[in-house]
Amino acid sequence: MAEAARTYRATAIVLRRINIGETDRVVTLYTRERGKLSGIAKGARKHLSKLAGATELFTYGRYFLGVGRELDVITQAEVKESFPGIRRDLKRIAHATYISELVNSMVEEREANYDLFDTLLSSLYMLEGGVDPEIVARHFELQMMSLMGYRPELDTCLRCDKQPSDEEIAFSPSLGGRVCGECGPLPDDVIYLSNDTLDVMRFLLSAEPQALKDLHLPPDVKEELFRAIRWYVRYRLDKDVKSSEFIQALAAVGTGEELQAEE
Amino acid sequence: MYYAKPLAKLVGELEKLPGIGPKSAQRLAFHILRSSEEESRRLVDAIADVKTHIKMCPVCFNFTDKDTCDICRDPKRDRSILCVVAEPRDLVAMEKTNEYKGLYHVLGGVISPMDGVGPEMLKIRELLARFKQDEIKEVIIATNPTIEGDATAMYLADLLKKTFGTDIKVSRIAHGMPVGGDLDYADQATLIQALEWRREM
Repeated sequence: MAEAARTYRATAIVLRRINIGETDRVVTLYTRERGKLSGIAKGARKHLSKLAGATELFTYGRYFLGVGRELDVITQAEVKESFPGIRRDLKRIAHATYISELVNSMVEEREANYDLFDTLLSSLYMLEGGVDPEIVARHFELQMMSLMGYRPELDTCLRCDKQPSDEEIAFSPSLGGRVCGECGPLPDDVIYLSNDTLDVMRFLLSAEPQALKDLHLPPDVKEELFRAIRWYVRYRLDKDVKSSEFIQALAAVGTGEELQAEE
Repeated sequence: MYYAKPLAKLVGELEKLPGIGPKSAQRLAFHILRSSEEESRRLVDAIADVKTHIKMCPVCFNFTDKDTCDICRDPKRDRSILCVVAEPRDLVAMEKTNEYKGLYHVLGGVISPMDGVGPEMLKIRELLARFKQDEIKEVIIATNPTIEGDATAMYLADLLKKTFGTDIKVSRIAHGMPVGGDLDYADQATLIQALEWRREM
């Protein structure tokens, strides 16, 4: 048997990290070349460790790994971008966490997907650059679903293939797109969308991340998009995305519904 | 079976401790076996003692063996300053400085959205309640400079400002270069922080 390479390098984004032992960290990397993989960064929590910063969430860099018996070992790292702008803003942190968690739960270990990697990276840059975090998240969700083979159908009815009228736009998260009321009763889970929301969804499905900079959406469109896409993603993922709850908790601060001191 | 049953049981229990592998567990077990009756009794008592006597201080949520912890009861502490930390061990680290003379509040963790730890799971309600009794004028947030620590600090600062306005001063401990560090070895994020938190001389 030919001897496999003992070390390799990968361009990656840190999706997750868990502290283990006194000073170590197990890091989930989403690599461009090899997909999602975990590696141990020894001593990464020590005061002067060079791996400390490089294994922080969302960090984009080049990682050098050694093949280990159970886990590969991250030996060196070169940070390309640490996204300080995301770290300075709670809402951006929340949304960056959300899209990282989506990738983490959606992809299989060691299955490379260059397009998904590039989309994740551009989305992080958009968050860093101050683009509305909600728009970045909706765009990422739609792009990711498309890349995974779940592009929602927005033009024809999923049941009868006919083009439904735009008077009543019914979106079914479980079926994955629009349905019309003519070929049968509407499914229980339909969410009604306005024409504006439908247009925005079409735009987000085709837009390059850079095009999001100039997009501003009214609150009602954002709300409809959020409901339709969140249910769609949740349906395909078949589990809750934990960080989406935090986004909602954040929205509550200042509205009087936040945590109150106990009387 | 390598060990006699009682010995195997001890090795098994020791192995469950953090950072203890099979080899270390074996070494510890043999050490305990060889130690005097009195020595091993002290260990047994110490373990039993922490389990029966240590509880959480109802004010600051640090560990204590009294109704209210020593720091909260100390009349010499400055009751106008409150330092918010994530864990009891962070409080210990702050105390070791001998510089800080105010009170503490232990959150019991940090906000970690991916692990499903939201603000409602930390001692934040209890923190807000303290402003009703104590004469707190300043809050120092001392969470780690990690994404979770940053998120927790920003969330708290936001909440405190929205609840109390400008009546209370909110700050966060500085982060940047560690003492004895080397610029050449510092990563991008650390240096950016160091620049941002610089101060005039």
